[in-house]
Amino acid sequence: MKHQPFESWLYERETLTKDQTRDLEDHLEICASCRALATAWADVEGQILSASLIAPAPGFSRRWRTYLADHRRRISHRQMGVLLLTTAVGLAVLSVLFGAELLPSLQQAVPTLVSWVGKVANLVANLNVFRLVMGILVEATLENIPLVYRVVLPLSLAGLAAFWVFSLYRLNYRRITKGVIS
Amino acid sequence: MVERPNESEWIHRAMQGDDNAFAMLVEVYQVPVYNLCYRMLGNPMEAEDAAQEAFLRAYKGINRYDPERRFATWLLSIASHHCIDRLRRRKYPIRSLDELLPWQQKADDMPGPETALTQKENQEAVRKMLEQLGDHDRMVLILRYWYDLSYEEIAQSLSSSVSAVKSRLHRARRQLADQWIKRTSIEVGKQGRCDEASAF
Repeated sequence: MKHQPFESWLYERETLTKDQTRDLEDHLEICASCRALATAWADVEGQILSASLIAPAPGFSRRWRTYLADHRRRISHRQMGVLLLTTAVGLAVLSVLFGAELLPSLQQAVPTLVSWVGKVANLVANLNVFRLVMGILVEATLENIPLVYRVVLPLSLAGLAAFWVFSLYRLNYRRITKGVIS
Repeated sequence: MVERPNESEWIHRAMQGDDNAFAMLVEVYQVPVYNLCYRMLGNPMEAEDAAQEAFLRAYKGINRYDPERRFATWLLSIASHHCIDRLRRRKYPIRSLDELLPWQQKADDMPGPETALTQKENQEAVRKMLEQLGDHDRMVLILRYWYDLSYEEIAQSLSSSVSAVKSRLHRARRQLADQWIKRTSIEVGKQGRCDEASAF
């Protein structure tokens, strides 16, 4: 006996036409194999339909708020870690880029620095003299550092400092929404 | 699932960053989402964790929600994808729990002892049968029977096609019917042997 398409129709009853449903019912009357499948599926479907929704333990909403708070804390810690790492890497990159170039200049400036320290120690009580020393210091620095580094290095450091301050502000004073800091 | 009168307002407020409004949505949808996760994962602890994570994902993506769509379908879609991901990552087989944990409750009112026992047996039978299905087939069946979603909604939820959904549902139903026949024939066989023994 041919079981198709009736065997397939058993599981698609909601999509069958009236004629198809009648043909299926006629087939089920004479085919024990398909009738057994139809009965089995009806039993299973009945079991599924009688199975109720299962609820979580009481206090799910409260636990969800805790879950959200934990998530925000994790995000905040991760962002702080990224900030520190970025700063460290930025400083390292700046050191590598400019350290080699500035080292000879700094070595040349060592005697000058020593003399500054001596002068500062001697003249710290006298503000006018201190101003004079500062003038000398700035002048000596400008002489020893190439023009391009005088511009790029302070700008880089200023940018890094601004990034640091802005990030701290965001992490501490602005609220976190949707799991990220806005 | 019918949308509540205040639901659209809660959704609107949640989209503007109101945590309390989203908490109301969690309160309303905790049972359907948890039930989906439990039916998929078969483990109360994992279902709780998956449901929490599904709500968190919904919270983070609430601004991507299209109000033209049913919120329940959107939420169940998130939970479905998360459960499928979990099952894919799962290194260990599904662990059967002989009994629901003591703190677990049915969403219905507390039934009488006999009804409770029958319900418990049915739940256990359903759970065991569902475990035998493939992940996607099981998901389609759950969305169809427990949430009454249309083929189109299921296809949308699972990022699939309607024909694929029909095919999966057909396969799941046939597999369950085959399992049921095997199970009942085994039980009938046992019963027959018992009867023969008692005849002597």
